[in-house]
Parts: sequence; C-alpha cells; structure tokens
Amino acid sequence: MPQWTLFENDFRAIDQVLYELLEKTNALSVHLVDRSGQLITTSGRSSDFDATAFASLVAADFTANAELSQLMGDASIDAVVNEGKSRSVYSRMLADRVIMCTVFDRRSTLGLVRLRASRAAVELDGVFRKLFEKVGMVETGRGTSEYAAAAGREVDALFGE
Amino acid sequence: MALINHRAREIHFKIVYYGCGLCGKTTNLKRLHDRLPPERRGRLVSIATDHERTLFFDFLPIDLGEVNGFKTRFHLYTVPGQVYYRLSRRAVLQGLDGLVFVADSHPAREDANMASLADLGTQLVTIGLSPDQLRRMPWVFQYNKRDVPAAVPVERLRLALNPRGAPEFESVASEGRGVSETLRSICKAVLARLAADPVTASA
Repeated sequence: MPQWTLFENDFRAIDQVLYELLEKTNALSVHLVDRSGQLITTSGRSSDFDATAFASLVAADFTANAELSQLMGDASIDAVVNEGKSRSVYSRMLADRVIMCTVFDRRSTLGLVRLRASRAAVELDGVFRKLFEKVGMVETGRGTSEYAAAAGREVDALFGE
Repeated sequence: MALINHRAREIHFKIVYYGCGLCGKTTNLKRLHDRLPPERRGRLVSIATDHERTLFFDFLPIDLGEVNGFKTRFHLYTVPGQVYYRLSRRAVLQGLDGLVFVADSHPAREDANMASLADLGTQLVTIGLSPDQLRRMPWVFQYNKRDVPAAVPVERLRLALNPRGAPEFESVASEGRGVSETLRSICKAVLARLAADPVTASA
C-alpha cells in the first residue's frame, strides 16, 4: 500500500481543531490513530498509559465494531464508545482512515463529547481527505533510499548480522 | 501502509504474521519479546482466550532506534488462525506493510496451510489491495516446526505455498530457531519497498 507523510503544515490545521475540542469538552486528551494502529498525534494529557498499545487496541476495536455493524446490516459505523469506570473513550472515524479518540472523565459527559467531536470530525475529515488525495503523487526522494539503507543496517545490527 | 510523521520524526511499519491455527505465530512474537533487549521492544499485547488461543491478535512493537533522524518502529501483529475468525483476521490486516506466512510442517497440517494461504489471498483483495499492490507486497515464508517427526519436506512446502520464490526460512519457533532471521528478512523487504515506492507529501 502507498505510504503517506504528514508534514508540519498538515499538523497546524489539525492542532487547532483538537485544541478546540479539548477546550470545549473539558476532555483529558484527544488522539488521532491511523486505521492500521499507528498513533499520528496527541493533544492533552496522556502520559500515564502506553500510547503505542492504546493506538493498536483502538484501531482493532474500531475495525471489529465496523465488522459487527456490517453483520447487523449497516454499511459502516461512525463511532465507538468505551465506557469505563474512571475514564471513557469516544472514537470516531475520519476520512475512512483516521480514528479520532477523545478520552474523558467525569468532568465531561458523553453527550457533550459526542456533539463536539462530531463537529470537529467534519473539519478534520476535509483536512485528511485532501491529504490522502496526494497519495502516490510524489516520487520517492534520494533521502528515502538513504533512510531505507541505514534502517536496513540497523535491522542487521539488531538481529545479529 | 507506512506512516511518516515529520512532527514526531517517526516512521512506523506494520507487519502481520499469518497462518493456520497453532502454526506458531504467537510463539514467534513471544520468542522475539524474550530475545530483544527491553529498550528495543514494547509490551506484548495478547488478546487471547482462557486457553491461550489468539482471540483477536497479538501485538509487539519493536523500536529500531533513530535512523537518519527518524525514530523507526516495526509493529508486529498476529492474526487468530482458526477458520471461523475470518472477520477478525481481516481487521488485523488493515494497513499492513509486509506479511510473514507461517506454515506448519506437520504432515497433518498440509491442507490447513493451503486453506490459510487461500484465505489470505481473499482477505487481501477484500481489504482493497489492487493486483499491483498484491504483487509488490513484501512477503516472507517461514516453515515452522521443522523438529516434528516426518516433517513435510521443504521442497514440498515450497511447491505448494511459495512457487514464486519469496524469501523463506526453516524454523522451530518454540526454541527460537529461525525467528530472528524471518523478522530480519521481512523488515528489510519492507524497507526496500519504501525506497522503491512513491510517498505522499504535502508541503
């Protein structure tokens, strides 16, 4: 599958939307996770849990729920809610490829998070769709080849050649 | 699908271990987790049944360190091998960058290997990979359980599963044999693909 790259310019628009979402919901943190399970960016507080494991579980959870939804006769799913005792997570799909997860506690409510996250999703959906339109439009640069060669040497070193 | 994050200066790759039930996919990840230094690997996450059969997936992140200014990570996943977890397997395959097909060398599992490979082909089409993307997808085959009595000869496994001659390795994952070699091979194949393929950029 094609690779995709996020540059600082892409993050400016994203940061603004995530910051507003945090402010208006009093949520603890917002995370953007690629559907493959990779963390893209985080806004807010998240230092007390394993963000890498979080991203992989969120992606798997969302995809599993999408399959469940299809079994129930729906073509797709918009959001998944994880309602915990101390913290909850509201996850919503953007541009068919990115999952926006809002983590909140009792200082906020699911209704408020759902409302504000839906509005934020409309804005971010456009940002990511424009980004994905460019997939495959830029040729590989020399830097990518050099990176791949250097990473290959690190792989050899790690696995003992 | 490799994600290149210029803000975090990170590049992530997703590698999926596929194969029939009990072929040794989870054992591969467990041995890698045991073998790698703690600073190079994250937590091994397993969503398994009470009987230690994979229910959804296993996940092991491996940190290659900083390469040319980018923190580089390989995220390893396994799928549940049992036939009826078809939908769960499809979920795990989303966004993959490389595949390790683990074959069971036990003579009684020849049909299961073939069925799993056929299922994988169907799943890859279902998640939207084009014929060109399928052709370019990095693959490595691992012939596991080479220590079982009357193990199926490698030539026979190759003929049945790997006629295109993708890189292949014999292994006894329970003892850690062939596990690192397999991972090294797929990591390098994925990196070679990165160097060869177009990337998305937005300035």
